[in-house]
Amino acid sequence: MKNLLEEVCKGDAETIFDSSGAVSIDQLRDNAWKLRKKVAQIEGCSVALLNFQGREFLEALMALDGYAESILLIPNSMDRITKEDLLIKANVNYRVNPGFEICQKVPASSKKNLFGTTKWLLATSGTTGIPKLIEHSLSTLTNTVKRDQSKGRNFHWGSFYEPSRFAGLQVVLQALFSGSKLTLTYLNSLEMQLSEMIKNGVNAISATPTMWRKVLMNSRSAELPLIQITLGGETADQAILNSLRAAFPLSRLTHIYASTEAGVGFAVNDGLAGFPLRWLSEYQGSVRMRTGCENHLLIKPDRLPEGDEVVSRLDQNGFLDTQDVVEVRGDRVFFCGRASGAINVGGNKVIPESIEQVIRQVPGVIDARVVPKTSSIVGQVAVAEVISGNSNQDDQNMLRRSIFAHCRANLERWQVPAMVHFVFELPVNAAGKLKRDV
Amino acid sequence: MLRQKIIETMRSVAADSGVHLVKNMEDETLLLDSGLDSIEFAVLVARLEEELGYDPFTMMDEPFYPINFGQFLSLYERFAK
Repeated sequence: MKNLLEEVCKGDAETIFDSSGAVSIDQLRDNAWKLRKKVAQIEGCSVALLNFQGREFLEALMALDGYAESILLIPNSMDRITKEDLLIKANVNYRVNPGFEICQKVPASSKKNLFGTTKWLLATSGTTGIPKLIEHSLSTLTNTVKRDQSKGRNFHWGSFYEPSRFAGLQVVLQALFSGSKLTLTYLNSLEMQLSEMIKNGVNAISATPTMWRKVLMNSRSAELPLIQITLGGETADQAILNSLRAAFPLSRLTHIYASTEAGVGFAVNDGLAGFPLRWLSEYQGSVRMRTGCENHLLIKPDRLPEGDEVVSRLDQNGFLDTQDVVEVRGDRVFFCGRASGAINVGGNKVIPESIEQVIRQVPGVIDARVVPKTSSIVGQVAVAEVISGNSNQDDQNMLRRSIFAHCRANLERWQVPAMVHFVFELPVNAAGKLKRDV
Repeated sequence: MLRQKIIETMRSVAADSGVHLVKNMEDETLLLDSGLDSIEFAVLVARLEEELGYDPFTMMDEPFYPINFGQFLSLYERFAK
């Protein structure tokens, strides 16, 4: 595969929008060449990108892919200690800030000989632990990216992800490869991001189900002329798919299964939660799937990222254990949640996400999170935190009763939450997912 | 007062779990016959911890599991703040 500079669409129309205005891809490309000249010493070295946003981030990627030995993408939202930890793990030669003023040369192993493919080192979202580094390349990142410019031209992409994370990068690369417009917003408030997207005419958005629920709660969301809605990063349950379908009847609805570790797995477009059962036996696009021990989903994409972290999770047939637990109901496979987040109620495993999905089916519930609480009697019990559309005390009492009744009817006894608390907000991490570490 | 609080909480646990609590909760009422089973009992203790701010089962030096309501109540009385 060629490098990013050669792969991106050509064009002098202003298609990339950020807070400083609009710019064409040709301009980005010119700037990227200038950056390369400015920092010729980093050729063949490992480089960390720090504090980049907007168009400067895109220029840096174009300048470094095919030029640096590796690019470490450090999300801006990450705390300082984790950043330092990743910088050490990645053994970088240069830390680069916007403007490509080389701020620090880190003592590291000597410059590598050029040259294969540039490694893109991405941090996992660390929903349930310390972020790990996954070794991608432009080719593993663009496995499923579409390149049809005649279709691409119709889209104007926006996302609530940081572009330096796997999910955000997918949006950026999709836009660059198919000639779509792209609005890069900064991680301030959802309100400001929405208003930027509305102003620019964004009609395709990628976000987690948690972020979509927040978008739906915002009255301005109706102003988005959406033709493409993409959900990823968390399980898309039927409740959120139905709500989005009702709010944006003209939009295509896609939920994708992807992770920093596995790359992009597959996309589901029929508006139903889960995926068809036959996909477990058929070759699905560029990925094979099966279920393994304790109903973990195992996947084998054509191209997997490299590095020890991924290799350690492969079985003898080259399948990657996704750590996502699935369940077959009828002719469909549904996601229950992450295996590592299970709550142990008296020896019974309870997956918080699967309870949340049931709670969200109750009319009046906007979002829910289930967390463990230590129990002196059974080890742990599940506690539900619920955002309701109504703060009236009587209505909430009624809703609480409905939630318990619905849970009793649809869950095993030990899965029914011990308590339901109403909250105004649920904690979300920088990757746009519900926080799981309590 | 504490007696009322505990009975009240037992009622809400029973209601949320879709089971019936015995009408008259006496000191001699066996917990196993109260209408709540072991999981609901765990829920009761977890809810009382939130309401009262303590869980006597984590505060005991010697493990003791009450058999009847009177013992359960006195356990909570013993560790009341």
